Amino acid sequence: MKKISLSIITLFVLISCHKNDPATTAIISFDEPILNDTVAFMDSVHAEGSIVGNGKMHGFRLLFTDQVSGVDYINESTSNIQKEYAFHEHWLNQVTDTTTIRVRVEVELDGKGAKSILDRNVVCLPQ
Amino acid sequence: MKFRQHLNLMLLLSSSSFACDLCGGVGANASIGLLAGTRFHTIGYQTNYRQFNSYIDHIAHAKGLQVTQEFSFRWQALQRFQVYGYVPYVQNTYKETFDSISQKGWGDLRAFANSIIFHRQDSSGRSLSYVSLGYGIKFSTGKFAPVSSAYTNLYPGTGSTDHLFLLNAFKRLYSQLGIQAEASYSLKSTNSNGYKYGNSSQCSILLILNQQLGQYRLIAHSGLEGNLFAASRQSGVLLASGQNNAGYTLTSKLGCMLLTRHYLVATSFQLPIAQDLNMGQTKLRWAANLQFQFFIQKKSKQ
Repeated sequence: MKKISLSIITLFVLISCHKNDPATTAIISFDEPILNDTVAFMDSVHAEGSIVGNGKMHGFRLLFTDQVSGVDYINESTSNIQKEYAFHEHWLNQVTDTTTIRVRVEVELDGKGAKSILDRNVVCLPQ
Repeated sequence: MKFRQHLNLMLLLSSSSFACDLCGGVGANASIGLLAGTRFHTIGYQTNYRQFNSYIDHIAHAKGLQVTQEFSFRWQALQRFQVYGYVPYVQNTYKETFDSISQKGWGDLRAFANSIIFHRQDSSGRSLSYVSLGYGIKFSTGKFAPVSSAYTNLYPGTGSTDHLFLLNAFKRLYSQLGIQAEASYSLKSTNSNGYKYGNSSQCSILLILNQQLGQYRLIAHSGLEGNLFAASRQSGVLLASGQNNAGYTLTSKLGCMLLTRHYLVATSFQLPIAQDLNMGQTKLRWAANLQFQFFIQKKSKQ
């Protein structure tokens, strides 16, 4: 009986440890935008891709930032704890001058400050 | 007695008129469910739920819930000829990681006529087998997606006038057990924005258990339903794979209905067995249906 109890407790501890296993690295993949993408006026900057961690991650942030002014056109985040995420966002290009927009995915790996970041730049054209 | 005799022909209402389509929240295909041969007109209300998930690189990133509430009528025009009408109200929501989008409104009206072309009964008037053929039209009455929309399927309507064809057959196997098969085809037209959903087909085969429970009658069914969707087009050009709604679903189906002399209550539930929609980027999770129908007995002699 004692052995069975110990086995159950050990199993429970192992499962619990596994469940809370924090990520130390994450693979961030962009399906969109493609490298050195150029977006015409009134077309959308389209960010789409996935994040796969080697453990549970503590959320991620998606930013579309004007590289000249520093303004964030998109700044969205989630704190859902998951082993993988997919992201998808659009922003309509209405710039008045040729502008580089940085699309950034910033992953919270362990909830203690460790991050993984991947950027992709898009050139937005005016009318 | 007449009621019981003709009630025996009323099977499979819970087959209902919802296909697990992706097309603007309206039924892609016709399905009368309520079989021919009764002496009743009916009016009814049903609510359909369908949950879809969207995937990027095989990771779920959005949940879509399509809710259709539908008012329906059935007019028994002649002994072997009925007219059906459906008025849907659609509420669709699509929840992504950061955003939630919703569309609601009156959907596309559907009307069709169904005729029994073959009917065999036993000496007590109970159906042994029958075959019926139907034709209908789905009108463009609901709000549909503008050209710029990336969420075409969320809108209550498709903007097109579609032709619906329906074949329905039933055979009694034993006293309380029957088998029902239904096949339908939806021929879709191009809407005013140049968008055309692909034609779709639906077929189902169900075993039906018909049991008298005191004053009530319980009709349970279980079976399979398959849906096939052709690719959508914009201005005549086939849309890219993964964005054109092409694919198939195969679902298991379980349901029951309880009938009284004056009304019935029915419910059904569907779970996917196999599917491939939009190159795996869209998956049906489940579908459910709940409905009420009230019988109006014909005053004229038949």
